[in-house]
Amino acid sequence: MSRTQCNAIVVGGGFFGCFIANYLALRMKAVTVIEQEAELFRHASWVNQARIHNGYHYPRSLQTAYRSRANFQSFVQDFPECVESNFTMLYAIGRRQSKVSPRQFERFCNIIGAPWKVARNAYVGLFDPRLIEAVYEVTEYAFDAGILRDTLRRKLNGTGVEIRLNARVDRVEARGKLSRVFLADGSELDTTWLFNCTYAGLKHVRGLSSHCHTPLKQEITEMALIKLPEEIRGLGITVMCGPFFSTMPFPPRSLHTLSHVRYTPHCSWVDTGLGSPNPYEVMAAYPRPTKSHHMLKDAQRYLPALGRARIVDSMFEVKTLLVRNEIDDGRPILMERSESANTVYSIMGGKIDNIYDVIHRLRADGL
Amino acid sequence: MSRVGTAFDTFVSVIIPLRDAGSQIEDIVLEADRVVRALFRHYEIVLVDDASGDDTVEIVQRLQNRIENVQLYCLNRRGGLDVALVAGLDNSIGDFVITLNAETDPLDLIPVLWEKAAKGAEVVCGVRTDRLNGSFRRMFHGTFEAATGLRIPRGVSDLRLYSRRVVSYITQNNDRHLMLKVLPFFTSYRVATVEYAPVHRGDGFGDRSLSNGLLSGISILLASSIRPLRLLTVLALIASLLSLLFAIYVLGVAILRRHIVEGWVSLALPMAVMFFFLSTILGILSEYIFMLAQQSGNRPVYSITKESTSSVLEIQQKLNVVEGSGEFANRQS
Repeated sequence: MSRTQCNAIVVGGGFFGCFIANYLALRMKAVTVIEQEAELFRHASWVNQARIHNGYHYPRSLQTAYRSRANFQSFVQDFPECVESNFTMLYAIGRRQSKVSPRQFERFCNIIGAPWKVARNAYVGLFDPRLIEAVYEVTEYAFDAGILRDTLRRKLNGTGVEIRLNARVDRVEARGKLSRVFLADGSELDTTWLFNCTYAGLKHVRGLSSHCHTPLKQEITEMALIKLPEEIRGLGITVMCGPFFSTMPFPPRSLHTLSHVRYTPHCSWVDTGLGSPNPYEVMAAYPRPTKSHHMLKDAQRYLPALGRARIVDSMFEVKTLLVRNEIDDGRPILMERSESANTVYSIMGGKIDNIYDVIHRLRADGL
Repeated sequence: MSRVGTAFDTFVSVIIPLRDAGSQIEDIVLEADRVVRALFRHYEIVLVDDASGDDTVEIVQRLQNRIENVQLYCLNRRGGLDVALVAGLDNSIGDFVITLNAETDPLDLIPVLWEKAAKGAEVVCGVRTDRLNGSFRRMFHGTFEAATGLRIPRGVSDLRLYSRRVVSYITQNNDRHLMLKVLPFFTSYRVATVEYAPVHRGDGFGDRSLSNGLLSGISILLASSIRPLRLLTVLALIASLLSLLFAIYVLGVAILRRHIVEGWVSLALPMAVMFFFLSTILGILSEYIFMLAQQSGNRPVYSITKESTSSVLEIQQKLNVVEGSGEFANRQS
């Protein structure tokens, strides 16, 4: 039987897992990433709005907005080749049922120092004035998950991180100060540091999930992929702040994603961990009835030009949320250092640029 | 009912207002789901709760775990059937929108409405056979059409189908909750009718009584036409003409005749006549002022306190479900 000695193992080959592995590899030798799929970035790192948040999205959580602003700068600096900035981002404020008014939004942007200006008439005219109260042009970008994956893979190769694909962790056992990771194929790895970056799978790795106590909610989500008509193809649009929609460029497929607060979440449940179904297995078995028509029909009431958009595809994925943070829309990261074994971390972030908060904490922990 | 070809890619919303419908709501939703599912591929069943005092909302939210495409909006206060219908129209997303009062309108008429729409009608309205006759209704209807110049099918009910174009027109009107009955007939949209006998399924909203109908009829009449205002002008003109003539007559009498009772005729008669006109004028004016006051207040007609959507998955039943349904009162896009 082969047993490998590692200094650090990161379970989960999404953006967070890869970024953390790369960070660790600059400080220690023998770092391994374990990914259950045949490729990195198969789940939430790929299937998301591709938005690099710049704070605008969180008018009800100043702390998240501030961090978002700071992380935006870092991300754009670190991954310039992955940034899609060749479009105009519009934020529109809904007239009815909106939890934020135009004045509030402007004040909020000023407080966090996020640039905004009232959209030019050609853009305002795209919206139905009965449903939209104000439209703003803001600075926000999208990222290309495909290029981001290639960049990360290159970095990991450069720092000598071992990537094990198609590798599923069967269980983890404590061996004194070390953790022993048993893979499903029978191989074993001993490691000092162990990172659980499995997102929706956080609570479903035997021997590892017992270190994650934060309550999680799982949600099956759908995003439509649409081809926008010529005249609005150069736009990204978010309608705030209620049961509205958002459409953003999705660079890997040269389409736009369309997500809708009302129709994107198909269902949700509180994850009670081992013994309850694994979210990824639930997702795989989900029949995936599409709500893309609902999304588009509602969205075109606000933006009539969307009536000429074409639905191309839908992407389904499990989205993991911290239970306690559904009220204020804040998206703080989950970063739990085990109390029983202080070399074990459970890490999860709702947004791609949250990674900088994670690194900040790791540095504070002396890593 | 045969499946109409164009139903395949058409999105249809069915709006059903609810008030204290706890005991019937399950049957209503199940039947609506059965009927609509057989007809359309893309649809939503929009339930608007008119601030029910019973467990209507809870029952609907439980149903949302079993039945797909059920959308619920809860109003903050009671506004009545028309306000609930307007809330549904404002928030529906379909290419065609069907409204009905589930307490009296049979749900299996939906395919009949759709058939007419598929043939090109932009407004299809149900006509209640029990409202077709009756000399009083006939008289009122005749007066209404004469006063407003609108052509409205007799016995028309809340069972309607509108195309998106008509819905957009309706939602542009600030007084749409007062005018919903007649708004679709203001334009030259193609209208078709479907006759049916009402059922009795509940009393949450209550059927419109004749006196209620008369009152709302008068307000609709005044709201849909400025002709009564013209009448007021005419009356005022006649009144001023009469008083002018009377003044000349009084002057004439005073000059030509010598022995009359001091001032009696010239005081009493014009007083009576003037008071008659004055009260008529005031009566009509007050109606308009009432309406103006109603519309000029910035208070919204309704506001939605809560909404939830269907969230059907087998696992929901097995797992520790967070909310009864996909509720997202506190979420944002």
